[in-house]
Amino acid sequence: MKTHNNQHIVLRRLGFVLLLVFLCLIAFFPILWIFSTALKPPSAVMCSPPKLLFSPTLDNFRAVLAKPGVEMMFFNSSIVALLASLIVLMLSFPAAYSLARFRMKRKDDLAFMILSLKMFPPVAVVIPFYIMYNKIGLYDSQLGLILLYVAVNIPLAVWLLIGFLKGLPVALEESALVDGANTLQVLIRIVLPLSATGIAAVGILTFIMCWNEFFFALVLTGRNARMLPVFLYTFMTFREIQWGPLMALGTLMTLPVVFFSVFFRKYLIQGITLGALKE
Amino acid sequence: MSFSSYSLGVNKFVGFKNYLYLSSEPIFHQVLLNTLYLVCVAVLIELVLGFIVALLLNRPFRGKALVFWFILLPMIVAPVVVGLAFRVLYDPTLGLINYILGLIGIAGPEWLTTASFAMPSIILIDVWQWTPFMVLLLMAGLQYIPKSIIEAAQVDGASKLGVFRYITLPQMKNIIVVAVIFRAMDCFNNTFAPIFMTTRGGPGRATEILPIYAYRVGFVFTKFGRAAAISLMLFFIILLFVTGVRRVSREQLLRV
Repeated sequence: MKTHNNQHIVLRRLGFVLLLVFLCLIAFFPILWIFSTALKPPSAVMCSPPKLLFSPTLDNFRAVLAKPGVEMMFFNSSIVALLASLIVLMLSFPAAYSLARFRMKRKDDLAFMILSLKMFPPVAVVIPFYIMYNKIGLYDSQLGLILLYVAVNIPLAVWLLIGFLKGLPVALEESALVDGANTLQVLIRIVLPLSATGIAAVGILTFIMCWNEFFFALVLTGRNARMLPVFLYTFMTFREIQWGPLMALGTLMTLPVVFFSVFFRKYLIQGITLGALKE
Repeated sequence: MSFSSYSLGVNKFVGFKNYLYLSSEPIFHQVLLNTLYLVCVAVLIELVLGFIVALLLNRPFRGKALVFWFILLPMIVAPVVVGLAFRVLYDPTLGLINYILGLIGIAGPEWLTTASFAMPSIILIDVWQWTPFMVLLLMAGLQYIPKSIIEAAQVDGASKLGVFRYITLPQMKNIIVVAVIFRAMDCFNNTFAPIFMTTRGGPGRATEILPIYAYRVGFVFTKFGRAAAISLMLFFIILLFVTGVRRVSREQLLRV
């Protein structure tokens, strides 16, 4: 009886592990495929049956890096994503704190008002912005994109941070207030250090969203402020799609963020999971 | 702008003409249905799947952080790149997906090029990329259910299903509402990139959703006024959806 029971447990364990491996495989497989296609010579990219063994080549990466202006686009994407996420954090942290802690009327409505920034379809926003940016000279500039990315990414940041802050104990802040600190001091000296993981997580998420954004970058930039996702277009002409270089660029775009996420894995997971969006 | 016939610098006020035009345009109706189909099905699948994965991961085991990291990876890749990658993977003769299906004896369909399979293929891409987001938020919610309640219920002899139905689900209501709202907004607005990179709304109009339609009307046919009307309709649909979810859940999300 007992061995039967043990067997049962072992089987269940095995099933659990297999299921997890299966999930990881599904999640990872297309990404692996992108990376491997980037290493394939043109003859091996499109063939049937798909080639699993091939002699890897760096030609595709060379083709991408040989394009004029690549460095500038990497620079553009990094600077825009970095600055936008910093500004998002600076604006949304105090907002989230006040929404998480203070008593006020119609708080939920206010939070939904912030949410409405994200309800506007980019297609609706982009035409007026295109016209406006052209008039005030922000078209094709990093600043123009940064401003838009900040507006679009604030809602998720505020809502995630509210959840995170609600998970923090209030007692510390209260005792500091009793000791005569003012709200700003409490915010900077006590809440900020405690929320480091949450802030890091939200920062990374925002960075990824800006880094990957396609639509605004497509319409609102020209030659100067070209971003990486739009650069992909260079390899898609009417006659043919150059899959190798395309996936090489995809790899170059993905790898930094993947490394980033390896480094900050702990923050990303703890930061979000500590911040449960509930009382 | 949606009240004008704005086209390349010529700006004329036309009142509700753009909206009247849309209300009698069969293409608009089809695109609207496509959009609702995409969002409802995709978000529902993501919610259910995300919940299952979150429950699965919500127990201590070795290597949890690594598994979690793997599962979150799809979120990291740019939607544009994902769209392009799936375009090749879906390819009926050269793609890996049909090759694998062929190995186990299934003749794979022409994913993106037949009308009945195109939208499900797009939904599959969305599910692959964004279920992790659901997992992330739902995991966060699960960790906040006090263990003591669950233990108390178990002591009282509640079954696993009972615990889920009467404790987990009600406790998770808030986070489910938030996750669904965010995911749906994103799905309404930002499925643009993967569709743009795979089918561009085709075949025919099988995968054309409101943002793609508005983009086409505005930037290809330069009828900016009409495009603005379309995208404002989209905005009102989203607004309606969010307030609807809020009403139904009847929950003060930020109650002090």
